[in-house]
Amino acid sequence: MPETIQDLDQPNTNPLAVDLDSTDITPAKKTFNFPKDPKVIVLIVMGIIILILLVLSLIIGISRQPHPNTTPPVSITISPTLIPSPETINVPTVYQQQFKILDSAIQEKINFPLPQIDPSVGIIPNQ
Amino acid sequence: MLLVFLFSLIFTQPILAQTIDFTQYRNDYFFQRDLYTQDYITFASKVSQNTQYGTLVTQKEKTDATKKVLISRNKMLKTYAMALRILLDKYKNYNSLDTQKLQIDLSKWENWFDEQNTIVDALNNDTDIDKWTQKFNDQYVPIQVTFTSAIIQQDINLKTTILENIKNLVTQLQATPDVYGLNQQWFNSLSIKYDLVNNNLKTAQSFGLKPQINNKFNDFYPDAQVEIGKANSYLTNIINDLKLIVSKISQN
Repeated sequence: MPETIQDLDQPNTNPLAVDLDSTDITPAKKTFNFPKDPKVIVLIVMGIIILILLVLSLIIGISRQPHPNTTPPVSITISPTLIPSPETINVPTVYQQQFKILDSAIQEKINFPLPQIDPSVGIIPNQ
Repeated sequence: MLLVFLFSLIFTQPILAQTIDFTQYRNDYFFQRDLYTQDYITFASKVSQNTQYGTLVTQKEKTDATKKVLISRNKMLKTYAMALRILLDKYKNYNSLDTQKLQIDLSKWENWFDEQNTIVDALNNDTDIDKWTQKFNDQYVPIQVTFTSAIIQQDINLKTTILENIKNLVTQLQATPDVYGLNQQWFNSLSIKYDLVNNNLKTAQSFGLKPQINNKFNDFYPDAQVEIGKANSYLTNIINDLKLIVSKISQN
């Protein structure tokens, strides 16, 4: 057996004198071990379900948005004087205009109050 | 030349009367009212300063501010009178005499406010301003009576116009045998309802003719509004009854 001279000043990191430069080293295979704990399995399944629901809600939300090419709904504003009373609707057409004029006149109100003034302006107090 | 003149008379378009817009006069009044409000604030401030310091300068500033607010107040009242006079044109056809009388009174007050501004502008001391103000306050009572009577008359004119329109419609319906025959009793009762409306309107108008007590303005507008409200109720009932009667025409 050949004598191996050990350099005592060097740290003894390779006592068996294994050739570390060899390329025959094969990496250890990584294996996925499926968790066997039922609680973990339930959590994973719930997470998948939540993810699926989230994606579905996004898809449904996008599909419900109005198409940019559709025309906006027409809004009809009717002034109060043009809304006929229930009775006026049943009135024959030949008389409807006259009743509309009467309805409008009955509802007409004059809102023009007298001016408010201070009569004491210009009066010398305590005369 | 004569031929040219006659030719121009025949073929020129008639000048249409300008449509006088009450809204425009009302806006003028609102504008003057805002100016008056600003001048009043300034006046109150000068009075306060003069009370605090009592110097010749503050005294003069107070006098000037007083004159300015009185002038802007007269302008405001004048524009109010003008707006009322224009407003009365709208429905005056059926009460033209009473309406024209009020319009003449309003026009008179408009000129009076202009005269007062000339007088106020010439005043230069507090004693004269005080005398003028007391005369103005006495004169302001009949002015308020005219203003209030004009507003009430406008209401009366509107209700009278509605009543006349109803009468025209009734006359048309009475000419329709089917309508009149089925509702003869109702048509015959209409004259009583017309009288009720007219009585309410006359009572409303009469409040403005009562003398003012102790030279103070007693506001009769609320009492007049009660009577006009009653007239309005009768008119509304007549219109609703007419609608029912006329609706049956289409159903038969």
